[in-house]
Amino acid sequence: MTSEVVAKSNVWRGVNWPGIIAGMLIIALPFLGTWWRFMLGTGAVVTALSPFSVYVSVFGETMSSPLFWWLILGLKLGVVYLGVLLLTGSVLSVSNRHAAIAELFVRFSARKLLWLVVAFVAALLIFIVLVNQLPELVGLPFRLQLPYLIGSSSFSTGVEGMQLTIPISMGFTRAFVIAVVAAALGVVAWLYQKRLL
Amino acid sequence: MNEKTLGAVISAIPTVILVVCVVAAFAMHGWNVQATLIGDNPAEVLERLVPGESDMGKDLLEVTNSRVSDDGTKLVLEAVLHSPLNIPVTIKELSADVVMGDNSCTVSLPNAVEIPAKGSASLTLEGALPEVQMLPSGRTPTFRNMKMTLDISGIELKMEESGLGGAG
Repeated sequence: MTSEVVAKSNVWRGVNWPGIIAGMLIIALPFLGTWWRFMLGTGAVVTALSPFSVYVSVFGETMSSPLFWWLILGLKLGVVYLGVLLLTGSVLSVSNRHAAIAELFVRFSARKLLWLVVAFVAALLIFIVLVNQLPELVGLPFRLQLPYLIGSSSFSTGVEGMQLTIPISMGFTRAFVIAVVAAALGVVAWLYQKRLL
Repeated sequence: MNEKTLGAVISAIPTVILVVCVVAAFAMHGWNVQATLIGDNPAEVLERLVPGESDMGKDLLEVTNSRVSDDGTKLVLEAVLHSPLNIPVTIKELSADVVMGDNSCTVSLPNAVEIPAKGSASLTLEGALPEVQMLPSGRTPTFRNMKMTLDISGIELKMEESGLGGAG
């Protein structure tokens, strides 16, 4: 009886729990919506982005690119695939027979989301830096001061008899927070898997 | 399947998915690069947003009635404002010097007014007369120094005098 309980507890200890949670979050992630939102005015221009969806609306007119739609579908499928691999690898860790495959699955999938999150934030930062520098580089008579990833500001410009003021706001959504949590759990799962070996 | 082969297969699958999606995008649009990249013609989208030449030709502000208030202290102008834009616009502020014959006074909009997309809105402009004046009958008011502040989905546009179109 005692040896049965010990065996059961060893089985539970063999499961990569952070990997299971991270796997489930990664599978859900493409369906949780956009990660970052950028807005001019109160809805004049709305851009909502994530690696799994791009929404651009100019005065209510949405714009889309078929190629982007298909690429995004590819990324969605790719990330779901990573989540399934991580989940499978984390469960398979229990079996000594499949330990090598489990290690392979977890090692391949656990840190990919982290790179995706880092690449997404880096791409946004580079874009904002470029946009802020653009008027100076091109020699335009106004200055742009977009906030860096989160916050709000306003842009003003004028020509004779006309003055234009555009409020700018941007920020991350809850889906991004979940992505960061899933990415962190992925790294934890990768470290945990090493300990299980 | 040995571990090495499995590793190679696992690594190749995401790339295969992406390549298949790109090929599918082009195949679905008859291998037409422009249709695949852009989709909706941007010129058509712009056309839906920006007013056409026929809309721009119309007067923005049309005075329908002008009168002095019963106590003779205020000039009241009733007007219709036409918006050529395909989006709703709110007039936050509107003021102008109104000249009728030898008389003049400054009128302004007491409250913000919303104009629907490509629609019109009735406005009542009011201004205090400096002294009791009689309006010359049959004269159309002329606007000078017109100032207007528009709110277009949170974007504020202040305009002065030029570009507002004639009103009389």
